[in-house]
Amino acid sequence: MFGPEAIQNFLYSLEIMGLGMVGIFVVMLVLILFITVLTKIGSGSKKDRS
Amino acid sequence: MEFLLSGIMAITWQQVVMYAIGGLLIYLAIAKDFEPALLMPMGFGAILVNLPLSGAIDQITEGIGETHGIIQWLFETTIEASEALPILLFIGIGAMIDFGPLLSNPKMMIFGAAAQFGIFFTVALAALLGFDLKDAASIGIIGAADGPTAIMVSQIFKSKYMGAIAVAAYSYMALVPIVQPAAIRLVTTKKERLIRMPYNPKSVTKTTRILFPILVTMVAGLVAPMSVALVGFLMFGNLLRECGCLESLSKTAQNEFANIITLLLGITISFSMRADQFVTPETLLIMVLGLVAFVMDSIGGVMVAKLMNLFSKEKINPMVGAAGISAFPMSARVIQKMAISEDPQNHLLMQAVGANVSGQIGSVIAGGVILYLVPMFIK
Repeated sequence: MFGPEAIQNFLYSLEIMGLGMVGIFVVMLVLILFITVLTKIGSGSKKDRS
Repeated sequence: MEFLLSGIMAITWQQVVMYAIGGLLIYLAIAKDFEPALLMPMGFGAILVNLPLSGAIDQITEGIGETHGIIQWLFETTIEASEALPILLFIGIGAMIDFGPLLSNPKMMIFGAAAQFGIFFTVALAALLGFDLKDAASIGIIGAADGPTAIMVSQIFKSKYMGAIAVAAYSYMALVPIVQPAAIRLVTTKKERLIRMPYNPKSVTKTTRILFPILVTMVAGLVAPMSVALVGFLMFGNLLRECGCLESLSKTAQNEFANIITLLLGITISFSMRADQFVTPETLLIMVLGLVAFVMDSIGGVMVAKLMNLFSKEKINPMVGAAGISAFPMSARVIQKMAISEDPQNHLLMQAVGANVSGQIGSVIAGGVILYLVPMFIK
């Protein structure tokens, strides 16, 4: 606990945290964009299901 | 007649502890209705695999040699070799989920990402406490609030703590109604909890509903390739539901198929609850870290909602952010219950359901991201 290896792994995990959270947010933002575009396109056509 | 006593004489104190744990899981499942479909088979399995010389796992018997046990065989073929059971379960989960509330209010997807913060926070904490990076990542994934993802990630990382991780993941999912309100109250004011959010759903076309699972699979697969098995099977189940021409398959996926997989997954995962691996101080630590993961998930979702309120004209009730965890539909129900307890006219259920189903997507993407990133840091 709190040894040099643990500190090293902790620093790695902070990097993983940064990259991971950014990655998930990017995927979600891309999906929001797609859904918004799909909804806009769909709103022009018949609303067959609400 | 000595052979009749051989089993009793071979019992270890660690196995007795496992009988108690098995009994506790069965009690929680039956008496408290805590994830009974998983905890009951796991509890019974924990007793089964910890009986001395249990025939449910492989044994070496004098005069016969090696005999194979059914639970070990199930584990080795359906979890260890292929992660088949947790992945297949996602077909059923996908078929059960209506993404409509999310599609009509897509910004709720932000919370599906924000509420994965507990995973990464717990990975860091576990690493600091001395777990190696693979074990730390396996423990952190408890925060996905998603049993199959936790089992799959810990299996791929070959974590020896898989049993404890599965028990923690399912136990805390059942405890969401207790854990989340406390975590939310910790970081919100009464004024914030009273914020009303008018629900103005947009129409969602059938085409959008059909294209959504295909798009999610492609986007997640391209950005986080390791998540594609999880996301792909989740979205395949959802496509069965939404395509409109496979109603019978969709119903089977939601009911019989999901039930069979759940039953097998529960009893099979008990192989990782053998006393020699489970009765360790680390198991207690993992239970504590699992709780931290759930609390930090909720806090992450709430804090991002608060951040969005700084820039948005239409205020978001920060409690909805906490619904971005994968525990569906418990988390959405918890938020609705909290909202009406503060103001009986404040209905947040549909907004919370939107965030909650996005948590399903967020958690499997988080699993894929963890699987992709962690090996990059292991020398």
